Amino acid sequence: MRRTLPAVLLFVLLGRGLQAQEPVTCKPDETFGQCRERWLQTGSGLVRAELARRNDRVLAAGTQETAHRLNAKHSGPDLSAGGPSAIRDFLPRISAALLTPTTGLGAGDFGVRLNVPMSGTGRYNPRSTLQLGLVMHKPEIATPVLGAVPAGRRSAAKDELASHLGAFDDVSVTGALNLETRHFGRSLRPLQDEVGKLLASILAPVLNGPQDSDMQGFTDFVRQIDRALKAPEPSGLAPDHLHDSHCVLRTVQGGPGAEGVLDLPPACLTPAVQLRIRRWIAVETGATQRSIELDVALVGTSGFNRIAQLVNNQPQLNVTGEYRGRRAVSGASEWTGRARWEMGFGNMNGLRKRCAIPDAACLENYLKSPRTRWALDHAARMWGQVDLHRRNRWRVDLPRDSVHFSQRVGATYALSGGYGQYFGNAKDGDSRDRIDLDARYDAVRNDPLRQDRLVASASYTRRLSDESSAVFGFRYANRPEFLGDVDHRFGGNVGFTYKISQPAKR
Amino acid sequence: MCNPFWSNILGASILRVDVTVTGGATVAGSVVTTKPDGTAERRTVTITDFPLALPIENGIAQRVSVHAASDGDPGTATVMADVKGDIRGPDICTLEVDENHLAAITTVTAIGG
Repeated sequence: MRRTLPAVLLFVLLGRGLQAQEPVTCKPDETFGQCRERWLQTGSGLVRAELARRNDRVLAAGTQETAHRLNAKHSGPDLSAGGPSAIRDFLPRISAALLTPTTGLGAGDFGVRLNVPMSGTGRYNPRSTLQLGLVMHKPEIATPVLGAVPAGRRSAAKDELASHLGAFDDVSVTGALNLETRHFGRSLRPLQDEVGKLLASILAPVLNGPQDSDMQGFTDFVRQIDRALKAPEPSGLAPDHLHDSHCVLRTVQGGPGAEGVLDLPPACLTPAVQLRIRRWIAVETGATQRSIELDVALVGTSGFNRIAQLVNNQPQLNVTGEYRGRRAVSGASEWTGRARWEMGFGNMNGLRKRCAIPDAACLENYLKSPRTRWALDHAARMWGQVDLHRRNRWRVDLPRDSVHFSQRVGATYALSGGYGQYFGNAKDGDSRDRIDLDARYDAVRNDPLRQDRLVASASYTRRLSDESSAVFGFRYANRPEFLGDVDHRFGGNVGFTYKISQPAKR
Repeated sequence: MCNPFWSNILGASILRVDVTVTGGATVAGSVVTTKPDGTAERRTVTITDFPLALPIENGIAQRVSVHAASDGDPGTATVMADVKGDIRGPDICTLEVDENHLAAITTVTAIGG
């Protein structure tokens, strides 16, 4: 059954012989070249109608499936409940558009962020997008510092301390790196060569097939006519135009005359030659139309139009870091870092595992395998994240106000992860039920105000209609106070939530 | 299908064809070189083979067909063709593909002589 459809289409769409070809009509005031362009661009109605009739069922089904499938690729809003998604934070596909500095900071803040594509040349320069940022926050007196000042002096101390704060007393330096290699990231750039060869393999029946030969046949025919017309005794010219300067072909560079037969109007040539040219234009037009139709069929049936989905499911590794340096009265200086990994199942790495050099047959087999079909239909994704936060030693001495405030070095290490998938028919896109699981553990060191925390949740989203859904969820926390807002509590550590979302009334 | 490029050239020259792609477009194509004796050589090309520089001499014809296909996302393939000394060039056409128009084609032809 493999490759059956393209083979059948190829057989059905074989080009017709020149003699049997209905010639196109050319207007008296246009050259053959203009006539050819007009026909190639508008196409042959006859050929299109014929092909449309034959391929209607196949192509319509393929197109419809594609439209529904593409709707299903989004991972849903709940998947990254444990933290922002690398995909949304740092979308490699639009990085080129983000080369201009961007802002979007809080009130009173000023800064700049810049996305810098890295070429990937060299061991320490992996192909990736690097984002660098510098933010100057509006410095304010830290609340614990003010709290330590005697109440009677607090307002005056605040004004006095604030008057000494400058623009660089609360500054963040940020960096983020998103890998874009053959194995990581959602960028098509590093895969261009591989995907291009895959397409060439899929389109091989067209690139080396009878359609291409028909198109080439027109070129060969024009070469012959050009030679005949440039001969000392030209053949093919209409007797009435033998000495017409408009019908002469140029024989020397920069000389008088037209460049080739396609630059001549029909009247210059004998009716027999005109007919042959018009037939060849019809052959080329038909071959081009058939090539396009066969390309569409091959791309659709081979699954090439699912490559975007496979790229979309590639693992992503996103690493971010920030240092926020503050003057002591504004707060402690802090380091934060995050590494996030995310992937969907059924991706380019999986295709490559099946065959080192992906070709048409390999792609077809991969997409037909039950595991891949399940993964793509359910848009299953998982993610994991590590967060680090370190607060420097913080000490404030204000002898005039009898303030001697200090905190030891503190740190938090957090590990989180999640999984999400849809249920039901892939044709329903994201209008179907889905489940999301996530968990996060925070380990706190040297912070008397915070404790280790474990929170895990499972939520099921039930689609009630196109615009409304019900979300049911269970949440577990190692301490009751970490459960947050829940609708019902079971014991101290487990909660149940439910919510029905409906479109906002206008 | 956008404007097919066609050029007749007297004397030796070079046909240059380049392709740039954006979004979800990928290209593959073929190059057919016809020699003065009528024999033809054919080869398949992909995006990494561009830009092409194909010699044109008396009696030699070069035809490049560029097929653009969508990987499922919308995208464009811009084909630029130029023959040094050809008053009609350079010619540029953009093929647009998306999930509803999975493929598009254009051809570039140059005949020497």
